[in-house]
Amino acid sequence: MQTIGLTDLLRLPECVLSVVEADWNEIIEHASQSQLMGQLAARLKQANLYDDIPKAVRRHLELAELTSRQRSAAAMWEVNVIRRALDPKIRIVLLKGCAYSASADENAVGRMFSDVDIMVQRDVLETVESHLISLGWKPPRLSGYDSRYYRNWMHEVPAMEHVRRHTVVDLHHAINPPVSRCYISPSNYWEQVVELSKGIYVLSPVDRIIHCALHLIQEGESAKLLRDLYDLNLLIDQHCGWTTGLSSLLHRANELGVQSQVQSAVSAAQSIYAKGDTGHVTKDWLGSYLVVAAKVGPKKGAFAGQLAGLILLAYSHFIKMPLRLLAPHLLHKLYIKITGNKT
Amino acid sequence: MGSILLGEISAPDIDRCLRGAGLGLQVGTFRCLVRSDTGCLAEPLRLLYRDYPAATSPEGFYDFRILLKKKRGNLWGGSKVEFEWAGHSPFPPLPLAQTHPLFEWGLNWCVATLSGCHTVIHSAVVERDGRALVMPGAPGSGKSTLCAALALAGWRLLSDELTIVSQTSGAVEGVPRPISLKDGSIDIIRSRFPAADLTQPVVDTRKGTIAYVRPPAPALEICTGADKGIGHIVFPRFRADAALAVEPISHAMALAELLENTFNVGLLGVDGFQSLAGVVAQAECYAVEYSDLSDITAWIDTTCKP
Repeated sequence: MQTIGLTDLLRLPECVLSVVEADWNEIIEHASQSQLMGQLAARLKQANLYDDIPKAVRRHLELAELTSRQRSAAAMWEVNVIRRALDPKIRIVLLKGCAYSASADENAVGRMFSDVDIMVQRDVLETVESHLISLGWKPPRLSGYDSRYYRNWMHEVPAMEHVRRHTVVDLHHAINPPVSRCYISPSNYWEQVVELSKGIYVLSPVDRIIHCALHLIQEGESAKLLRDLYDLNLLIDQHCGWTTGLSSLLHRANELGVQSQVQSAVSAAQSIYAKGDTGHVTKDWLGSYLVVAAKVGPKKGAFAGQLAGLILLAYSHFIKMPLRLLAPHLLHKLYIKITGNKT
Repeated sequence: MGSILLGEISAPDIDRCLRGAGLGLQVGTFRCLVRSDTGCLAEPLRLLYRDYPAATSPEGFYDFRILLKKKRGNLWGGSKVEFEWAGHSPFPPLPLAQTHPLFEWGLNWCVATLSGCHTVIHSAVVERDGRALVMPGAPGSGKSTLCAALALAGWRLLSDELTIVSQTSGAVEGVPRPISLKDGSIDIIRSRFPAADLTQPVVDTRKGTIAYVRPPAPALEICTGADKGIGHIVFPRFRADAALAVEPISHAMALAELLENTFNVGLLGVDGFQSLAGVVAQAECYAVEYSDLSDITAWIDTTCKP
């Protein structure tokens, strides 16, 4: 019999009944590395299987749940601080962890996140940024080059850390870089944002799914892939369903010009986490690499996983900016690395 | 874990386990599996963890599967050792001679991290008659020396580094571990307690020269900790040539000081604050300046009674 791993438990929590005590070593370490410990606890609790877990293992799970609850409360507290400080006319859209948490998406339970991701419209970006600075969020010291790189090409300002509380705010004006191959004009999703409380918004459920899919490809970070694909799985499960709802999701992705990326991400999430009958999204080359990179994750010495990780990293750069910008950027980074010259 | 104690296993056998599938060690309520290819760990572990339950082959679930791995250095640097738990390496690699201190620091980090659901205070703690005596202090305040002197003279050692207070009951959990002594305090403890087991001092660590004292066996006999909570909180302050000076301090002041030394204030939030405030309100609190170890231990023995 094959040993049961982390992804088996997330997909079919009933498997926990055939987990022997020694199997938990790998499961807990894998969950810790891929930041899925709290969500694993939530999954097992939701399936009423928590009591079947050894007490020693529960100590690890309970800590992750507490950490997740506390971080999420702290992040929402920061959101309110920001909301109060800004002109009420400025709309704030929460993204990623904050959005899942504020809209009580199922994947928010036990989810580990640390940054506060918010989005405002491009024309108030500078105003909001200077307000954040006056509230104590410090812009990082960047070289002139890096600073121009962010200002000119990116969809967010460099992450800002609070001088006293050390919380990090990522301020966006779009969900992907304006120079990206698959740039989505923000008006497309601003039209459909949902207001949760006075002045605080989230993307529509379908757009949250699309952002999740696009983000995991755009970041090219294999360490968080397993978690991001799990988010995608739960969001699809909750908001459109794995059977009939997929076509409307892909239709919206097509409308936004990101169908192929979303399809790859959905196919990867499907092959790792979906159970039973699904709408069968065909897996293309990108989807296959996502699966390999996610499953191998940060483990050292696994060649296939590292190769898949590299390919994803290269692809993420490829879609982030056109070659005429990317080539000089990579050359510049290489030059800095060789010379150690940081100006 | 198995019914054998680490002291019953020979050093070469311990080294074989460390190089192979791992050596199981029960520390308080935590189960550890230690692996290392450095060859520097078997001797100090056998000396210090003599009375701890151990296992020569892995079995069941371990809270920490720890790896201390030799890293080949460059031509002029020499080999180093790296600490790893579940892919986390919280410390930079250190010279091979510091393998054992790195193990102790790493295990402290593991225990402090996993105990996050309880209040975890950076402080020495000993117990008598079910009541804990907590001794927080900055490096150099002499808390470890004082802790060693008390633990070797009848107080039960709970920890020289981490005071873990239950969020629900206020009891102090014991995770007894070797006591680390720095620089001058090594000779002080050696001359005061000639029978105590100490490791060979390791020089030039980031904390200076350190040696570890084997925890006296009573520390390991009952693993329940101080179930009646904290009786006394003493903030020791070592100052050369000072006469013993005792100053009672308010609960509010003691609470503020303890919060400064608590690792997970942010994680526990309001609940953590309230629980700790409740615990401190039950305790007598003092700031004590001293230069002579005999003076302060004599004062503690008469004052800190249940």
